[in-house]
Amino acid sequence: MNVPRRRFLLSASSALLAAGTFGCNGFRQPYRLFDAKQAAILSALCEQIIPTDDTPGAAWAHVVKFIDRQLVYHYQNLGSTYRNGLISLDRAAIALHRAAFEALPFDTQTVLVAKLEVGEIAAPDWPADAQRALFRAVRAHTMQGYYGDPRHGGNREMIGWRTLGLPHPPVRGRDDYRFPKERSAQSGNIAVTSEARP
Amino acid sequence: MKSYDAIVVGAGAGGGIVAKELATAGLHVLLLERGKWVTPFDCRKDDLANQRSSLLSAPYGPDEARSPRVLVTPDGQARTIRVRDGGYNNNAACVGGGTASYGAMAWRFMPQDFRMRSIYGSVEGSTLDDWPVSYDDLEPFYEKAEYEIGVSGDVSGDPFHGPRRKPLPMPALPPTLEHRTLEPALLRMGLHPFSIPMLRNSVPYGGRPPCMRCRWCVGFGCEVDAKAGTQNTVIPIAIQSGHCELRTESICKEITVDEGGRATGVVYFDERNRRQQAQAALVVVSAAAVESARLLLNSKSKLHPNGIGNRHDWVGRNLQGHAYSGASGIFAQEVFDDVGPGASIAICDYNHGNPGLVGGAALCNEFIRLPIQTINSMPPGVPSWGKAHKDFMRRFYRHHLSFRGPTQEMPSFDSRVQVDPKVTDFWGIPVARMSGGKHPHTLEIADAMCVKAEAILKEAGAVEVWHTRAGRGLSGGQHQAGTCRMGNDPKTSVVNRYCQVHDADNVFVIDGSVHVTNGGFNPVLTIMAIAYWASDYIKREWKGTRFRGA
Repeated sequence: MNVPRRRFLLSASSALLAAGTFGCNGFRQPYRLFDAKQAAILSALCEQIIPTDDTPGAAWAHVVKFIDRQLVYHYQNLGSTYRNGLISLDRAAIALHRAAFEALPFDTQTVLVAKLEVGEIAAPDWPADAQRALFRAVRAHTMQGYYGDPRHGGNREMIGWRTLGLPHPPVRGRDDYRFPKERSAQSGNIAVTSEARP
Repeated sequence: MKSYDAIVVGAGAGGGIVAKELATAGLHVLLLERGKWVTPFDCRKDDLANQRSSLLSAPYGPDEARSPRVLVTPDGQARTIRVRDGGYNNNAACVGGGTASYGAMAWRFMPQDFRMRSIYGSVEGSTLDDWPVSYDDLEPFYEKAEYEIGVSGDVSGDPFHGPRRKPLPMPALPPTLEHRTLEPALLRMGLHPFSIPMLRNSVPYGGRPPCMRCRWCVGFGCEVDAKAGTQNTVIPIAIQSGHCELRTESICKEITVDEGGRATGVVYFDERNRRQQAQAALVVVSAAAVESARLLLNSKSKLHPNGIGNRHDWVGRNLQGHAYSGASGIFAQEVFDDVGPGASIAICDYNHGNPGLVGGAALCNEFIRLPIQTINSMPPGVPSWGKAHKDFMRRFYRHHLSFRGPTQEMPSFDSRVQVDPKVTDFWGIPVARMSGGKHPHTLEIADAMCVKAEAILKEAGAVEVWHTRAGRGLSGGQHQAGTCRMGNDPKTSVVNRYCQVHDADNVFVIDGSVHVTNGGFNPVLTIMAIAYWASDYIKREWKGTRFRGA
């Protein structure tokens, strides 16, 4: 299980390269920093922080898109925390449960994340403080991506606010709040107020 | 080199008023501000990027890449910190300073707050002292601030406030649901609730419209200009007088002095980072407690080898803010009505007269808390993530309120601002290095306030109540004060009762830095009153072309 650091970095960078080439070939590359695999792990991890129940959770709310975007702008210093952390988490999942993290049953993931929070996942190359750092970042950023302003890429259709029963538009007496482009293109207007409060 | 009558460094609560007072009196004023002139339309209503939750960025300044600070943690580790980090103790850097985005509570300190040492005696390990000015000295200037900047509210229900000649110029905004939830309980308990005075229009005033009661208040600029700061009141008047030149994005490096030790002007970097020098008969430092101390300490010369005003090592000492503490509660019924600014009701019953405690705090209901500001304010035992957290957010958001207050701090000589020997900012100026923590008695008072607030929430019908305790760390932030203490004795203070530096009589420090103690209240109206008070003195002493010290 001991992958030498150099080989590991090499494989990680070639994965990134592959993803980049993919983008050039005309396929839609949705993320700036994550490849599809990393995004899948992160999406599962964010779902653990804010799961789907009768209302959508973090994955549907585009929290991964939010994090991906912030890692390029405001959280540049956390890029390696995420990339290395996600790969380590996946390797730990394979070592402990013989399955990729995102493929594990939800409750098994929950147990792993609870260990991640306190830095107690048994993984030889993954120090406890790095585990905790990944958890702290994911927890904080999932909350931001879910409950924060949609203009930063998350909180799709203001789901985080709607689940709390916050009325729209967010500024009382104003109708010109900037909606995400795709949304205004679809509906052309604020339709969410007619929906029943979850 | 350009020459002025007065240079004011910092266009915040203090500097804005000084600039206006001096400019309208005919002095030629240069007003330097390190930030930009930010309007609410530059910084949209963004819950992740505002003055209260600067998670992604700090849109009210300062520029993050260029303005680091150093924080020494209690274990002695010094680390360089960014504007967004909590330990930075940011107080905005823009025209208006903190007043551009604040919550705008407009408290007068109580008469006792100026006489803490006389009333309570000395506190071990604290530099607690009396102010050299009294409430009565400042009363006319409090009134001037209330009328010129504009305060709404109703303090008639508060029997504890000091004597006042006039009522507030504007009535209070109608009470919020939190206000109506708490008021009967407070009255039943024999306490004295009233509507918080706020620098916010409740009716048209000063050419600006009333508050539209939006959710986005504390931490945000006001879109309709109902919230009064110096940027939409006195600074425009100063500029219109024709005697005030405002230069934004201008970073003051040092105060220059002559052979006699008197100030001759300042060196600053302009908006294109060019080094500039300006001359003036007097220099007013109004950069807020951390940066004012930094500027004085960085102004070293032969006669001021440790910085201006620092002959006795008092500059930068006694950094204090407030120890916010109280309680939060969950109610069976909804208590959130989404009507801004949220904060509405307060009591001053526990500011003084608490047995065994030196001072206390005003207790108020909180401003509107946006969802992202609520994720960590859960009662003990609620998981910080997962389905339980999500469920709790949904059940809790419209059902919870927080009743807290700014506990008056015991000033501590070792809570201080220095200049860092190694770290410099973008312009090569040594940055502020902050160290220290809260005095133990401050935390005792804060904990006592938690108990008071808990009883109130229970009486109001909360089904679950928990304490929100103050942290032990250094506090400064938006309420930063104390680093250039006002006093009669030059050996134990930096400025005299008119904010004039003891050993450089044409340098003034006019902001929260001069506060001896910081009251159990948000300090802005006191900063404004002090600014009017000191400006009044400067105008009286101004001899036509130059300044003579008393």
